[in-house]
Amino acid sequence: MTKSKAAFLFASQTLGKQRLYLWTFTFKELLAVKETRQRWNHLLTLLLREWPNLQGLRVFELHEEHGLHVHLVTHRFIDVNRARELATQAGWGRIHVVPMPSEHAGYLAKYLSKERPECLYRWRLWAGFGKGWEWTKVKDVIRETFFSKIYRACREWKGWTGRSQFFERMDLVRQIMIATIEHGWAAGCGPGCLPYTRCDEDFYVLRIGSAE
Amino acid sequence: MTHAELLTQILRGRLLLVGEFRGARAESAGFVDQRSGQAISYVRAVYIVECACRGVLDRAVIRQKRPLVDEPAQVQFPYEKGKRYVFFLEGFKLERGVFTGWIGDREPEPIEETEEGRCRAGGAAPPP
Repeated sequence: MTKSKAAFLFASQTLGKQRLYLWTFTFKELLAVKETRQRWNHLLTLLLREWPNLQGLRVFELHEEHGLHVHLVTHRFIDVNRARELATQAGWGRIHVVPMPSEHAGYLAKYLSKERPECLYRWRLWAGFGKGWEWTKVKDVIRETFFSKIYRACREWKGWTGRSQFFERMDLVRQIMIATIEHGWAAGCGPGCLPYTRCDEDFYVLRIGSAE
Repeated sequence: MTHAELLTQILRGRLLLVGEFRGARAESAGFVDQRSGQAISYVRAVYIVECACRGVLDRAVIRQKRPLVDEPAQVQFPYEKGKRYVFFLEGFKLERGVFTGWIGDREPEPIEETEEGRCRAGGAAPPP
């Protein structure tokens, strides 16, 4: 799972405390992805102008045959006929809506698990919209693993700031992680449960014969 | 697993890693939303394996998700340090010389050591 998908699941849980509706917006014709995004921006503007309190999440999905289309989860029901009028105005085709139990909001996350097509490189595959609620951003999500605990301890030990020498840092953390598992140390501690600052400089280096 | 069984698996095209078990640990991994405090977590096991072909100091890291386990402490590792095991890989990546693989539900299986198995690649007799 990626951080983006995790952030989407958190956001959908926040939105999903209420009754939800799942919308799908498609086109009659196959469009370029950039054109689709422009039309989505137009449609979203129209929807929020009509229903200023509308809250939700949108996900782009690139279909092999039908091109890019948009899935939407909204927290309230909006008039489908009016939404269809607005969609037509913004150049969209078919609209489909179904009520959805709030616990199924994560269903849309499956689109985020697909391999990202090249044409969507650096695109925001999902986003929240609407006033009055705060959806989780990717920057709010942290990964909690054994590796990340060791990384944080190393950062403190070495005084790392910024992103310089990223690969060298990862190599060091990986080596310490391997030594930690092999020797059964606690996460973020060296031999004798000492913090890294109080260990020898090369405490993590596996020596020939250490296996015996 | 005997050497013959191992060879059968290799000839079938299975992705296998054979190495000395050096250690393992269960961890609670996942994501935390710092703003709301919500968390998505799961338990996974991490194995450290030493592969003969990669030199004495090189270690491979193997990960295994344990979806049926709630607490890392519940995971048991009935493996013997220094003994060779076969890992049935689902995938792997080689990143800056570090091998990281992941396995499915199938647990690592010990390899039955034989005199033949301890021979060098060239066929020389094992050291006394």
